[in-house]
Amino acid sequence: MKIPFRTSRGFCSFSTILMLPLIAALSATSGCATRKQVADIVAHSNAAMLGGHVGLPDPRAGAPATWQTETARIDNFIAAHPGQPAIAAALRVRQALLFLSHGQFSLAKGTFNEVAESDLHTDRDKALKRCQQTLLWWFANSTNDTWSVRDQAASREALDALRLEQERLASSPEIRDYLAEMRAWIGLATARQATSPELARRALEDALNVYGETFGVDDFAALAAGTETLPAAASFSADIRRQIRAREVLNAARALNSRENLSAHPRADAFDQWINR
Amino acid sequence: MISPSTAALAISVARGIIKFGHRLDALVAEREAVQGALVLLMPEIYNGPTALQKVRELKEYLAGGDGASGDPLGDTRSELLLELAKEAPDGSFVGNCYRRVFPERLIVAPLRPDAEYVTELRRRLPQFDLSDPDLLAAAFHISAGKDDRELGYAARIGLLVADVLSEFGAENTALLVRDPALRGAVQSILERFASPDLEEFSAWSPLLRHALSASLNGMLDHRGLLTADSRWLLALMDVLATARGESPDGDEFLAGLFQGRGYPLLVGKGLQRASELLGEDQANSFKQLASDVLKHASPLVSNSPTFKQFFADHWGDLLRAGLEGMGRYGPLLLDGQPELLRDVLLGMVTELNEIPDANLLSNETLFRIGDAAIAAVAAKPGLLAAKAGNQPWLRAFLNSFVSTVARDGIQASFSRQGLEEMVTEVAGVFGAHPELIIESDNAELARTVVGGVLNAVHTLSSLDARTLAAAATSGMLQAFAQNPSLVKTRYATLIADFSASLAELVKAQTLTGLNAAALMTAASEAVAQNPELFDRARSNIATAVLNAVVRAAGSDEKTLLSGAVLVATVHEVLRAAARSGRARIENSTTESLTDALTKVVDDSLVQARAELGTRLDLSGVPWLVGGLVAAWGRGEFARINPESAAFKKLFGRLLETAASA
Repeated sequence: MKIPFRTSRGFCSFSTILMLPLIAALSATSGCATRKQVADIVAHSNAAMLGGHVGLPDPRAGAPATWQTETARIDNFIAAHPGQPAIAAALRVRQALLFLSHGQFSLAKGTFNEVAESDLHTDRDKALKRCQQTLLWWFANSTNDTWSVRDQAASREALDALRLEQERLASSPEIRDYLAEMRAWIGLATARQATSPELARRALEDALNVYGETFGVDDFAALAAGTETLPAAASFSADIRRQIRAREVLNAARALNSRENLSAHPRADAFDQWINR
Repeated sequence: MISPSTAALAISVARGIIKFGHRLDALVAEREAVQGALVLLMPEIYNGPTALQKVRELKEYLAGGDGASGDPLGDTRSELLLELAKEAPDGSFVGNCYRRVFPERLIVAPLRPDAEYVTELRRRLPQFDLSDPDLLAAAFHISAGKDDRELGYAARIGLLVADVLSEFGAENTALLVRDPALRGAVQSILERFASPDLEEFSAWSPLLRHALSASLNGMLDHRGLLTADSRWLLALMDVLATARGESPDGDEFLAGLFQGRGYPLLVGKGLQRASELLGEDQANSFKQLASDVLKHASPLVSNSPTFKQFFADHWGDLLRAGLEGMGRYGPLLLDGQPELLRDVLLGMVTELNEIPDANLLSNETLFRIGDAAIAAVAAKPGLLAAKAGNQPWLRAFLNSFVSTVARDGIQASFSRQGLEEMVTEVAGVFGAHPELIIESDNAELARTVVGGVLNAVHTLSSLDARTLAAAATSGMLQAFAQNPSLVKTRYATLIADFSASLAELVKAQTLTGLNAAALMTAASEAVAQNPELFDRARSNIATAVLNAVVRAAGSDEKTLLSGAVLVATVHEVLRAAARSGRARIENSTTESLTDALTKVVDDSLVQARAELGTRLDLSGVPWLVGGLVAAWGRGEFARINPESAAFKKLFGRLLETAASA
């Protein structure tokens, strides 16, 4: 559809046309306020997620983003913008993860419960919502030296749930890898909590077999070669992250396998060689 | 100086831009929230003694002492001894005991997968400055992944632009459309199109439906713009406008009606034919009829998603049938009993809602079925209240078509389209000859005609089965049309049996499919010409003739009878048996009749062979065999005796006729 702005027919004067960019500029300036707020929330909440972890105490000089300030910022935004379920649900998932990473498990649970899966639209957010029980249990209990009977049941449910997600998320590799690695760690923890060598061996093999399903030929080749040089990456890709992070999982598996003489042999040759060398 | 209209335009533009800015901001903010990267961390993990190690160390501890005072295990020592003796001790109990005995050994730095990851990144990718918080965060970013909505943000932004332009266009239609008559219609369409925020659509399908609905509703609001000579179209538009207002689903109902397959056929074929066939004064009758049908269907559509699609596809077919009925039976239906046509169509809507597989019917099939039902009811109004078996006549009638098309067991041989073509032909014949179905007992005649044949031939290959079945049903229908009293005879059963015999021969490669079809046609004619004989005979004469000729042909070393000659011979023998065989065949069983006919045909072939090349050629063989069978049927001989004077005389006469034919 074309809108005529010709003066010859008296539709619009030239001066009016000259005014339009000004009007547009004004509206654009005032109109992107919401986007800016959300962009700030995303950036600061990511920074706050890392705050206190991995040796980075203060992510933003002069304006430290703490989990308290960032979760409050999300609350305020949602309160000020009602009737936008897609935005609210995505931000609530973010908020729940922020609570989780800072040990605020009750707040994380309450936040997760405010989210309806039907308001979420991306594989990542939907998977995190579906895995909320697993996430809540694992973040709260991953450092326990002993598992209660309830923990043992929770670990079984977590392993099942995460395996299902891993299969579902083939077209979204980053969140799939994150949950697959989490499953591998839970599987290793299950092996460490086993009181018979046979149970420990089976748990270890299961952990690595399912984890190995997310690896492609190139990943296995990189692991098998044990190369010290990674591709000259211009940015962090999902492949690089998968290959680097797998080494820590495999090192932990090797330590367990050798210390307890489990003789575990996962299906993937590269994994098998790694944990038995 | 800015004129008032220019000022109004400037304000409208400014308002549009501001609105656009706000809505774009909201949309982009949503994209930021939904698709923004999220840093996800892995929690720290316990890295102290394993459960197996705890078991070992506790066993050593228990072996090294006797539990003297100060033993942290206290009373649980003996319990732990028992537990550790098990193959897989309870991990929770073992862990608690271990904590009491060796609390210091549990103080171990946990595994920190993320810290190790950063360390490894620093080592392997030194070009990245991970002290930069943004870069470090990027190493932990998890992207949003796949979005479950069909319309991505780019498309939704495009829709937003279209929406704002539509709103602008609706407010300033005078700028876009000069013709004052059209301006209202365009404005109406644009207002409707822009009424919901288009960027809220997340899939194409509802968006397209909305666009269609907006356009059509806008046109309906201004249907006076249609040319005055489109009287029938105007009538239809009036009906649809009323239906939209009265349906619980409103615009949704209307959009469904327009989207269905039947609408273009109604407008393209039905209304065109109506304008040729009917007087203009009948447009009002059509309006009333169509209005009643849509009103009757509206709640059914609202309650059943399955029927909703069916009705959208077929309401046009029902109305086409109604128009056809008005043209053909108008005086009777509209003057004598004005409600009758309406009642047939409403009855069909009701019954089709009850029949589960009704959606298998094509538009043309349903149109012809409707036409046939109207024709039958016009001839006998009482049918609408009649029962066929334990169900209403109309349901039984419709069901006989639906169940025939839905024959799952024979899909290997017949495609849905093939079955539809057959039942459509049946419906067409019923429409032209409603007398065939005006008895309520005949409500299921479609199934009887087609079903029996389909069962008989379904083991054949697809092509042969279709060829043979088409010949059989076509032959039967022609016979029924010529002689409706055949419906009450064994005719359909006899033809179906004959089809089965032909199918066996085709399967055994004794006959080709085409030859079988030709034989089928010949048999149908023969039976139809002598219905009483075939109906009353103990045997299936047609089958006996077929078997006899084929058997004789098989034992004939010279193979006189094959291909077209075989077909012609069966035809001639059938005709002879039908015309002259009553005395011999009426009380014979199929087996005995087959044996007797085989002997006659065998003997005839012996005589024919002797004359080939002298007084007879191959084309005369069928006629000669038929003539001898006719003489046998009349009782002129029991077995052929070539030396008999009477036979010589008969044979000579037949040869002379054959030569001159």
